[in-house]
Parts: sequence; C-alpha cells; structure tokens
Amino acid sequence: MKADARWPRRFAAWVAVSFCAGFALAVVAQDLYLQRMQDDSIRIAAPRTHFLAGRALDRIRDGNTVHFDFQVSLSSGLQQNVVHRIVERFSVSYDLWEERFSVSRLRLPRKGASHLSPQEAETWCLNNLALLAPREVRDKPLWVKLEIRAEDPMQRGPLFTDPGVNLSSLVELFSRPASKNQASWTLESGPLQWGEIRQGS
Amino acid sequence: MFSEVNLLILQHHTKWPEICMKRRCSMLLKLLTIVTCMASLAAGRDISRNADPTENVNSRYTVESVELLGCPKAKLSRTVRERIDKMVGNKYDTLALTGLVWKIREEVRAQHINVRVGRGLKPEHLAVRLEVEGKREKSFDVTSPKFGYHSRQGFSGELEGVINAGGRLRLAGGYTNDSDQLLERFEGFHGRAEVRVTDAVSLKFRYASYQQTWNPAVGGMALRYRNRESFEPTASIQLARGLEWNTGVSIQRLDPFIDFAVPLAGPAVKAARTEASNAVVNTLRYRRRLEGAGTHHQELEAGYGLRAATHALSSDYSYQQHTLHGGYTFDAGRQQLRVTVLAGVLRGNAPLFDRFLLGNSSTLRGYNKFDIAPRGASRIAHGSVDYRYRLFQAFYDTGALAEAGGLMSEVKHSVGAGLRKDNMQIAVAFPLRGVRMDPVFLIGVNF
Repeated sequence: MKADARWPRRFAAWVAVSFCAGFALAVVAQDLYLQRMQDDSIRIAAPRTHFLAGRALDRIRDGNTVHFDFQVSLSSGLQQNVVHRIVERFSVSYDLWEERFSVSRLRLPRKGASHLSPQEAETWCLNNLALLAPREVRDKPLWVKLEIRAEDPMQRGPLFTDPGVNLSSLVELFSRPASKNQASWTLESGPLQWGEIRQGS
Repeated sequence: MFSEVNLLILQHHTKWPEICMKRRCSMLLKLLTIVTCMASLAAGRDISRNADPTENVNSRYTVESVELLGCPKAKLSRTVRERIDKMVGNKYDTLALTGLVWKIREEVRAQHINVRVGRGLKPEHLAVRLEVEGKREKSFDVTSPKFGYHSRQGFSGELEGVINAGGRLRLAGGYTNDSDQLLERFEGFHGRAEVRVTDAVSLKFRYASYQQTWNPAVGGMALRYRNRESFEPTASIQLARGLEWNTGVSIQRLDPFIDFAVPLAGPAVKAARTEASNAVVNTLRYRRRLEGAGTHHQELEAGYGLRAATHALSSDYSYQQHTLHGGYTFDAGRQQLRVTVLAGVLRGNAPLFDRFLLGNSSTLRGYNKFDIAPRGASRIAHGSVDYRYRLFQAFYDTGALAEAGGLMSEVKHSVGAGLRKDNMQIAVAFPLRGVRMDPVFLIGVNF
C-alpha cells in the first residue's frame, strides 16, 4: 500500500527533473549560432561557451600545450541522420612573457594564430570549422551539433602522423564517451530550415 | 629498457604512432622499435629533436631552471638527472619535456606529474617546475634489464615482470637466456622478493633455476653441470651516503653433466651426484657524484666483493673470490669520459660460474671469451676507457688473465666505436692482435 502511495510523488519528481533537463538543454541549444556564408558553408559561433576555462586553462597558463578536439555534425530529415561531419584538433598554448594565447590547427593545411585573447582564441577555432551542407538536404529540416573536448592529460592520444592529425583517430575519439578527467561541451541547434540560417558576409 | 623504448617511441612518433600509448605492447613491436631507433641513430638523426607538431609558443624562450618537487632528485637515475640538467640553458622543448615527465613518472612510480612553467628571473627565460603527485602503491611492470646480440656469442636477454606491492615489498620473476655473462649459456627462470625494512635496510631473496649449454671449447666434462639452482638471501644496508653493504649467503646446487654414451659405474656414479657450492657473499659499494659548473659533473664508484665457499656450509667446493672494481666518469655536457678498472683473485677450487673471464660485452670487447680462456681463470686484471661525444662512442679495453701460481697471460688490447643513446648501443670492436682484423658486432640495451 505504501509503495502505491509513493508512486505519484515519484512520477511527479521524474516529470519535474525531465522538464528541468529539457529546459536546460533548450537554453544550451540556443548558445549555438549559425551563419550561412557566401560559399554556402555554415559557420558556427558559440559566444556563451568558453572552453578555455577551468583545469584546461590552468594547464595552458602553466606553460603546457593543451589540445582541443572539435566535431561538428549536420543532420537532415531526422536528427540521427548525419549527412556531413567535420573533426578538427587545435592546440592552444599561452605565451608566458607576452600573456597572449596562440592557437594552431593540427590537420592539414596547418595554420595558426598568435597574440590572441582567450575569446579571440576560441573564436579562431570555431571560425576554422567550415561545415558544408549538400544541396540535396537543404529542403529538409537541419540540425547542427557541436562537440568540444579538452584533451585528457592522463591519456594523450597518438593522433599525430605524417602529415597532420589522423582523421580516423579523431572520429574514433568522438565515438567514445568523454572520460571523467575530460572537460567536454555539447551544443545543438535545430530543427531549422536552410532559409532560416542567417546570411553572413 | 622498456621505459627507454617508450620514451624513444614517444619522441619517434612519426614511425610508430600507434605504439606510443600502448605501454604494454608486445615484445616484437618493442624490438622493432629498437631497431628503427637504432637505424635513426646510425643515420645520425637525433630523434629527440623531431619537429613537434604541437609546438608551444614558449619554445622560443630559454629554460632557466628545472625544479623537481615531491621527490628527491637523488632517487632518479643518472640518465634522467642528466636530461634535467641538459634542459637548463636550452630552448623550451615540450616534446622533450613530455618524454622526461614520462620517464620520471615510471621511475618514481607516480600517478601524475604536474608540469608548471612560469617566467624565469631573467627576461625571456622560463622556470620549469615538475610536481610529483600520488605515488602508485601497487604497480606491475615488464622490463628487460638486458638484451643484446654479440656476433660471436649470439643473443642474450632477460625479461622480468615486477610487482610493487606497496612501498615496502617488490616481487619480480622472469626468464633469462644469457651467453654473455658466464662461460656457460644459462637459460631458465628466476624470482626475487625485496622487502624494505627501513630506509637504510632491505632484505632480498632470490631464487633461480637454470639449464646450461656449453661451448665445445670449454671441454672438461667433469667440470660441467647441466642444471644450476640457486637461492640467495641477502641483506642490503646503507652504511652512509653512497656507501652500501650487501651481505648474505649463496646456496647453489649443481647437477653434473652426464654423458649417456658412457655407462656409469664406480667412481662415475659418485661423480654424478648433485654438488653444492654454498658461499658467504659480501659486497661493499661506494658511489659519489660531484656536481660541477653547468652540466659538468663527475662520478666516482668503487666496490669490493668477497665470495667465500667453505665446507662448513656443507659446500663441496671451497674457495674465496675477491674482486675489486673502480670507475670514474667525467661528464662535460656533450662529451663524456669514463675509465673503469677491475681486478680479481680466486683462491681454491671454484665451479665454472665463479671463474673470471674476459671477452664479452663489457670486458675486452672485440674478443671471444673462448679464444682467451675457455675455462676461465683465477686471476683477472682489466681496464677500459670509453669516450662519448653526443651519440658517438669510442672505447679501448685491455686485460689479462692468469691461473693461480702462474704468470699473467699476454696482455690483450681491443678498440671499438659505435653509437650510443642512453643505455642502447650499436658498436663494432676489433681485437688488436697483429694485422688480422676480426671484428665483433655488439647491439643491445644495457649490453
């Protein structure tokens, strides 16, 4: 009898938790902004997400090089139907004398930028993730998901080969859940139509 | 050895990226890696200077100091201490630092090492701080204390698994197949336990069971044995800083070599019984490192060993073996000079494994031990001079053997050259005996 009496209360608790989680997800989802470029590629921006923070930032400020792995996936029709995916690895270090950040993209073609503030460094990384939407999927609802993972200092992976970073290793890395030592961020946007994505310059 | 290999793999990631993180990868892969690294060394490529794809913006600054916290520097091996010293005054190299951190982590069995780099006192200089965190209470590691190839004696190697059960107990077991150290090729398993009683006193128990294979040059069927079992309980006492005394007993059982073509009867049956060679062992070792200016330093080492077998210990053999060795190393950064001497006297009737020999991977390199004294000798005198410049090494060995009551044999000389990186070497050595050049090739780790 007692168990039956508890049941509605538990149900209400679960509903509340689910609602809060859904609400939090919705708030987070709004943090990913998309912009359609002239070459029909999609640029992403996450002004409220700061991955240069916490332990990773401490390690960078301690003179270490910290790697960040990025995965952007584009789904069409259904959220599970991924039609395009890009993965990149960036290394971030901090100039101890000039007190500015330096970022490098490790996949080819390699490029980098220095003398950056933390926000500029974050933006530089996101600006170097160009997502292409195939023409045939543009008439269907689209979802974009951004995943960022700071390198786990305890498990530095063998991603470097000649030349650049091993793409399959990066894809495999995102197929596994992040470890408990790893800071990670997931941002989603969608469903939205191609025409709803703001046109950029 | 594997830690060295792991370090090289890490630095040599262009060829072996997948091996980097597999610290328990197979022996074959590790051997392949040694060969690859050796090939790089032979090609004159300094593998520690591979371009770092994750180049740190601070790599243009100079390292002013490297500080180790949470672990006394004296606990680290000489190689690691040298690496730390070499970093000072050079540009900040994250890859070299990562390799160093890995090595320290293995040596001090730490869970993690925090790397903190800050501004140095001088402009554009950096101060590196390595913070050792959380000693691993239990760990298992597979090492190969020795592995190598001698073109006259073939392969020799040892593989050992070590379990560190807490800070005070260490258990190890392994397999050995060695044709370099003694007159016999011995093959078999060994196990040992080390208990640290206090910081200055530890107890060691070692058991080994080996089968012997003999080179025909040894001859003397009655001297040979086919199995050798040994048990050695010893105590190691730190008498003063750098001075260590090891004392204990060595109990050896020797199964005689039986030639089944000859029927056993009468005295032959008596001769075929198991023999014992039980001895009291004592070793006194002194080692001191003198730090000089910059990366310069000197190292002194000396030791005396006494092995006394007596019938009072139910031994079938009665003998005393005295050995004296000394070494001096002068390290001036890229250059290193090392001089070692060894002298020994054997009194009484000792089994073959305790007789002196010359002509292996550490003495009279370039000679074959069976060409000098196939049954060993009871007197030894040996000296060696090694010079290293970066990876290049050149050496000169000289030595002589003699029997009790006899004069020393002709003094022999040999020279050699090769490449050496830490404990790994590849070398070719020549005996100096007239016009005939008969080279010996040596390749291996701790060999």
